[in-house]
Amino acid sequence: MIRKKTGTQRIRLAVQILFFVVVALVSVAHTLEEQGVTLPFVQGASLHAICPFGGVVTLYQLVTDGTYVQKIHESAVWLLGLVALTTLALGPVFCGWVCPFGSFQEWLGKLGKKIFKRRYNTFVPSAVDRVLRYLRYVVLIWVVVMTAVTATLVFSDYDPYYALFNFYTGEVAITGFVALALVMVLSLFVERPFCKYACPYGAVLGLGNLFRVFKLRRNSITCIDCKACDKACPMNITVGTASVVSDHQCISCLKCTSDTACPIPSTVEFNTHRLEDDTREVAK
Amino acid sequence: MKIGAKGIAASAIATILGGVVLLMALGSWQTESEKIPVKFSTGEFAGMANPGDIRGSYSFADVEKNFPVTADTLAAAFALDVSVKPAQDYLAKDLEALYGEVADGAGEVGTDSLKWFVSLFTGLPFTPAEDTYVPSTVVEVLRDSGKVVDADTLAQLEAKSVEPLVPGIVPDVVDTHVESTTERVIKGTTTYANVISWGVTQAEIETILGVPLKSKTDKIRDHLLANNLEFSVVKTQLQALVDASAP
Repeated sequence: MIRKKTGTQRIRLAVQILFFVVVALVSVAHTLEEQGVTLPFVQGASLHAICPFGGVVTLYQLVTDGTYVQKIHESAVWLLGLVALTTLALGPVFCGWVCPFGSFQEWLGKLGKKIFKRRYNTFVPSAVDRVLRYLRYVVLIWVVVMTAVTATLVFSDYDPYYALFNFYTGEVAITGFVALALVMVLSLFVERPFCKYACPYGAVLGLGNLFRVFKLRRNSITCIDCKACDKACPMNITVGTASVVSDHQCISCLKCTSDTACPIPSTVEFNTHRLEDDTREVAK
Repeated sequence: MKIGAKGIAASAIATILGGVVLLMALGSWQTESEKIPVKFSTGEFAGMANPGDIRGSYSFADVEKNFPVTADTLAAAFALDVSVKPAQDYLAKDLEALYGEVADGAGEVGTDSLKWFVSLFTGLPFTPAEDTYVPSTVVEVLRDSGKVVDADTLAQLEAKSVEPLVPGIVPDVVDTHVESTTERVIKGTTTYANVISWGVTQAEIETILGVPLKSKTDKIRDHLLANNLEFSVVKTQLQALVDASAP
């Protein structure tokens, strides 16, 4: 019997909770500050100010006009840079470890897993799923172009992440609430539906999987083709046939690795070089 | 080289949270705008603040800082209760919360309304959205202060006006910042718009000045100084025209 390895995912959960709490606190503190109440040790900021995607949508205006899109500030551009650094090194770690909305969907998904068990995250036919995976690039192009044209945050009214953390402020558009409700319901059937099909920032970060320094690699020599990695992947990526995973949907969550799902040590892991080289070296 | 959960966790926390802390320490972590609107880059208003860039997060004090209109005037124009909080502390987005949708959902009083008012009060260009409405007190303030004398503009404003929050007279405080409409005496703070509202035409003013009148909202004294003209001389000539056109 394969012993369930939970250490890696516990660490990830701790990081997810940390960032979720930080974002929630900063967002609540901002609302309270507007009402004249200051929380100790917490500096409030609007959700737009601490979302790195704000840095993406304001880039055009920043370059052409030297100004920021309304509601976006310097902090968002700095965050864009910091997240870009982690992405270049490790891929979309932001999606799998940091993004509070990704975590929120993942936690809702645990309920879905309890309800549907093995059927969870398998409802969308693969032919449809394959096409839908590119929808987030359509969303990305629409958001960037429309923001550049209108100089306003067009996505804000449809952003379920904004709706989640601002539901009590009265600043959320009805379309935002609809998007949030839709994502919450879909999360019971599909793991991270917003990340997979609609997140424009995930679309940007996903490209990092092509360039990341630490790549997710599979050792084809030691692999026993048990498909445990494929079953574990929340993004339904086929890891079990790849030597290097460069799929734009990978979120660097480590669920497929030998530290979690893979039963064979050093067979699936984040590494800077080919794992087969290590095996051959040991064989010598 | 392999990296595991601890390495990724440390990298993410150090890079993102550590980066933010470092930026805070360096004073580069800016989560709010500096409340300075963009300036017109071309045309006759080049270099002047653009009312179209007033944001929901701007307080009336921020607007006062960037445009020649006081927070008290703004509060009066939008009929805001200054006993609830000082005029300076009201935010542009408060208008949306206080008024919101008006005219049976056909329009809205909000930040765009404030932009429109500031634009008309200062003579700076701004085109409001089709569904932008203002409380009727806005029309009163603009008309009584002589900032808007054009009949078409006043008619357009009235067509887009709704009942104010506190129906009644515009608070006296407005009178401390704008010219009295009943006292037709040219002073240092009198604007060309005031004189025009007293019945003198722009052509008559330009004949006396000998230079074109670029902005009706300019204070006469300041404009004359900028053009090396003698205030006392021009004032006498303009006052004569004002007196002649008295009803």
